[in-house]
Amino acid sequence: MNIRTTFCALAFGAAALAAVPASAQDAAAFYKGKTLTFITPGSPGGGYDTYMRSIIPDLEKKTGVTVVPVNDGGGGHRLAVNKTYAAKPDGLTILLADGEATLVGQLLDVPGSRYDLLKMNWIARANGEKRLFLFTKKSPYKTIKAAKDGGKAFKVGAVGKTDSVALASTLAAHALGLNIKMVIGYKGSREFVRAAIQGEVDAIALSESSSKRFSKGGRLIPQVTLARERSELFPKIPTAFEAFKIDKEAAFWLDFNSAFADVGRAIVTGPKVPADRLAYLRKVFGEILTDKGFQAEMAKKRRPISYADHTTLEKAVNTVFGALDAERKKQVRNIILEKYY
Amino acid sequence: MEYFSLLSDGFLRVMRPDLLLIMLAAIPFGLIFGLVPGLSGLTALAILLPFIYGMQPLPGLALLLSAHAVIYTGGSVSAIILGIPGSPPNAATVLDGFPMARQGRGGEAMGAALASSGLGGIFGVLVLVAILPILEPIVLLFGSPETFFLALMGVAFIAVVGEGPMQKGLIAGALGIFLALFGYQSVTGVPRFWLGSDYLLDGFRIIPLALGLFAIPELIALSAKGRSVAHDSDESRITFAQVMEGVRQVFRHPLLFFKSSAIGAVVGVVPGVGGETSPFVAYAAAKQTSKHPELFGKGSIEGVIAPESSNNAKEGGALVPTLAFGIPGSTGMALLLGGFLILGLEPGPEFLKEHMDLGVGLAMVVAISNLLAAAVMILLARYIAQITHLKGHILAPLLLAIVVLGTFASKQNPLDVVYVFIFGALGYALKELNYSRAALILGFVLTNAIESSLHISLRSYGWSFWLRPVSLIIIALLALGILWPVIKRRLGARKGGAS
Repeated sequence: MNIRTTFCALAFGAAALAAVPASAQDAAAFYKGKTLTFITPGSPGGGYDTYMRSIIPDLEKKTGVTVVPVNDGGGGHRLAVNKTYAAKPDGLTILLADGEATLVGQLLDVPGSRYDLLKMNWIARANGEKRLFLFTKKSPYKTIKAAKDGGKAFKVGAVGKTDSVALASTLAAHALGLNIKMVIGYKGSREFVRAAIQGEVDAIALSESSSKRFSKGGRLIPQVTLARERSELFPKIPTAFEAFKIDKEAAFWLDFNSAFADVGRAIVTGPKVPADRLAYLRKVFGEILTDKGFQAEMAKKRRPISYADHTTLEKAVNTVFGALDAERKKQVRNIILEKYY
Repeated sequence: MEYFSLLSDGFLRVMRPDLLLIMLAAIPFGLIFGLVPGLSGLTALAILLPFIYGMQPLPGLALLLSAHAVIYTGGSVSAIILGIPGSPPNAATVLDGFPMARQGRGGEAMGAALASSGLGGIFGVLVLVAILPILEPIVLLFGSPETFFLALMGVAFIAVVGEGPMQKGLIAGALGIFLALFGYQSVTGVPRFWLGSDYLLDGFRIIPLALGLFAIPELIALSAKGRSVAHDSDESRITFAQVMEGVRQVFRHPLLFFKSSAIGAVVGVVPGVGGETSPFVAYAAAKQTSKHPELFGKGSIEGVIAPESSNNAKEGGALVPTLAFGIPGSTGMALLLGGFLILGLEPGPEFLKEHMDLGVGLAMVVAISNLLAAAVMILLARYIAQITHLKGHILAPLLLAIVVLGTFASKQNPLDVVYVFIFGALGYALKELNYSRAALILGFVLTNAIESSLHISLRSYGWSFWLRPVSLIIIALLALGILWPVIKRRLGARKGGAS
């Protein structure tokens, strides 16, 4: 390398450095050496926790922060959101949220939901999966079409009235005209999967990756994907739009349900965080979650990454809150909290 | 034959120097987490979990399982020598273990607790290994109705488990049930009695409750008297012979040991009943059938053997649904399941078909860890027990610091520490008025299981939910348990009449 080439390289380097906005440099400098609290409502060892703890090494490497992981699953996953919402708006408290439960909490004014998602700052989505309806071996119906035509109600398991599984089940049942009876009270998803395998309930609505895991050996039989597109993991299973004749009203409810699932497991921080720090966090999480090596590592752990940026998340949140007038909101309350109980 | 060759393969897979080293490193870790009040097995597993990234499956899981399997072994020692349960399930051991320590029989109690812990752990593993090829159908027998009746069995024992009169036990149990009703209720999605407080939204937590009820009153007593826990005389010095006498006591009560271990293993297999339940149920069952029920609560060796046998046996049982379905049988097993997934393994029927040797290997890890932990603690018991000879005014502040730190460490919530003192005041009042603190804990831990499983059973099976075969067996056992004192009295009267 001669002197002229070296000089040009240095000049380009200096120019590139100058092109990086000063605010981004400030934000990067701000995070270096700080302690960042990373909260998740999942219990240690569970899905949320695995996502959080897998992200932490890369986050520390890229930003120079020391991350303190916090598992806080209380109050139906809403305590973690409350804490993030009330934290100092310095960008040093972030949350890997249970998007569906968090949205329902605000939408239905569930007691204890002390946050406003429209004011919170979305960073990125780590994982958002379509849901499938699965029947058990002991289900009185062999296919979902037979279930729709049959008069007898079939039992669907979930944790509580406002958890993501109950939400998907009730909204889908309403859209498709299924006669279901919700059985809730299970401690977690693993417990109602067990109940399904035992035949205590006839059906459950699971995420794609959980459906893949628990349908092995024919223990649970996938029936329909609750989305407009088929699942990549279940290319042979039709969508609700393919399996049934869907009118405009039914399509509204299925899309409304999909908007919840679109938020999925998303990273969010409280309101009023300085814009440069927010932009920096979005950039860093974007790099981590789109890294091929990281994605492969997560796939190996059966925790797939389906990255979405903050604009997709904001759009989904606005769809959930913006699509409802007072009458619709009343209907939603009835479907989620009363109709199938 | 194939099954037996799998067993021997599994055993040989564990007998590797590197695996034994991992187990030897994990066991003291688990024992210390068990010994220190407030630090639970869950905390130990959560700390160890990141270390297994990149490890081979068996060593990675051995690291987690070895530490987890011996938590209650460590916890029994604090329960006996200090009257403070190392972890909530050790609270039942306090009832007779601590009075034994005060009578200068701490060595005997520790020997009995450690031996029954170790052997109970091995019993749980034997149950697991025996049913390994038929795990799925076994687990399928236990649904929500069975969970409900098992939890109900626990409630029926509330009156028996108490230190004081039966009515007072029932009142304390009812108070425990009331405290469990606080917080978010998943069935309705609505929190109860939360008074607008985020802390109460999550309900009361077991660690501040157990430590408050059991630790604070003992610490007050220690400070007030200023004396050591044990009498400071030469006769009360703990010797190895005393510890070994305790070990021998377990072999003198084989029926009690097997019954208590079986209770632990069954509770472990049935998720939802709650790990804290089995030692109390085993304790109450022991009291029901003992020839000397009047000695319970005053330093009965049976009151130590029963809860400790069931404690460790439970973990072998809890491995059953974890391996069979990938559905954890206890909170600790939920963390272990996270470990499986981190290592790229998915427990379930297919897993057992493909990796039966690994399943057997894990069972062996639990057995060996239990054995090693018991042996280590038996050898160290007399040294650890020296702490009972420290003067109260020195020991009490030290222990208070440990209790406060342990409580805070469990959730990093300062309010937990405040509640330790609130429950401490309650515990002190209960102790002074002779109301059973154990009954309160039992009522507290069972309420959620009863409420949820009854709701599910009624929704799923209707009012005939109790007609399932295993439910009927549990109902029969429940009736037998309740009526046993009457039957015993009648049989005794008949014998007396005949002679």
